[in-house]
Amino acid sequence: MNKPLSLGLKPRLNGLAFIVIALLLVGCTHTSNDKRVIGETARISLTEPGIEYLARIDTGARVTSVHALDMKVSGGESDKQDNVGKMVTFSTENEKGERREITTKIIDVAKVRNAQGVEYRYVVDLKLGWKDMAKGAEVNLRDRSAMSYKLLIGRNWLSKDFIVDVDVAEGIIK
Amino acid sequence: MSCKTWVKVLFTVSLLTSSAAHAESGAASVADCPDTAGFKIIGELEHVTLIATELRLQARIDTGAQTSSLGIDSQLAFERDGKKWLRFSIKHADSEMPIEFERPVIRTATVKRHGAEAMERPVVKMKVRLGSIELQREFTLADRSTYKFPVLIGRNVLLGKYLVDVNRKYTTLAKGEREQ
Repeated sequence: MNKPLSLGLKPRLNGLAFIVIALLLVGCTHTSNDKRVIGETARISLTEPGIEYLARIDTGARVTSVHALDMKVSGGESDKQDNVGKMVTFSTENEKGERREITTKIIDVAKVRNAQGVEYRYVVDLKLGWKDMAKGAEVNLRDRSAMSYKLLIGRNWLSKDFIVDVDVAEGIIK
Repeated sequence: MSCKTWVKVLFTVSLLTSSAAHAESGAASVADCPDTAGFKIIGELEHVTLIATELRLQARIDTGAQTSSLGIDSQLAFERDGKKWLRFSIKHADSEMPIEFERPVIRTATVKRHGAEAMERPVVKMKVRLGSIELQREFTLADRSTYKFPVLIGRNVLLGKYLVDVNRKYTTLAKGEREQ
């Protein structure tokens, strides 16, 4: 018995649900600032080298951060601040151990305060894709080897486009 | 997808539609956050009230944190009926008078910190109000200097109750301000 387009409801409710959803979707396309709901974790990829991460969606973090190893700045100076505008090459690895190399321009150096004191991190512009949409954002580079989630999505990527629902998750790393 | 999921999708879509309509009028208040299905849209920063004392504190809404936490000014462990209790105080930003609390310690949470030693922190249950919803949830206690904001609202409060929109701030009104 093949039932196409079943919503898993009683057959009579199925049709009704479709009509309601269709009406709501039509309503949504006419509003300028409808936002999509994203969970506490989401499968997000760096579209350029094409690597997917199970990312932690963190409204407590201002800026998005990605796992970066073996950072090399071409013609780099020892003071990070002097390297803004230069190209950086680094390796990134997802939670499955897949690796990609990325070369991109350093657009800033971020001062990050944490329990150990002050830390300076390179900031680059990367395009991050989720489902059918992609969006560029500033991302800081950090060695996240000790952390479960190799990509942390901060408020700068969520802003204007997403609402976070922690009842939803696309996976959990213990 | 289950029926429950679809109901949620429907509610979410209707929530977004109505919140978008309200955003155009430039208003942000409790009235703008529909209670449909019990989901309320809150911002990246909110005011949280500790019930019983009516202490109203600034809170960072943090989907990256599992357990919520509370910054305290002083603490003293003691025993009551053979159980571990804690007396601690919280100072409101506007007043000099610290408010004292006594709570049984439910457990100790090990807080892992990158590049630093793990820390043991006491966990107590607190009754809080966020928007018009009152909840009793576990809070990890830490020295106030640890945080930029006195309260950190994690997923144990958000779950099943709130959606977070980082483009909003302080969407809830104080008690008494609600009726306009």
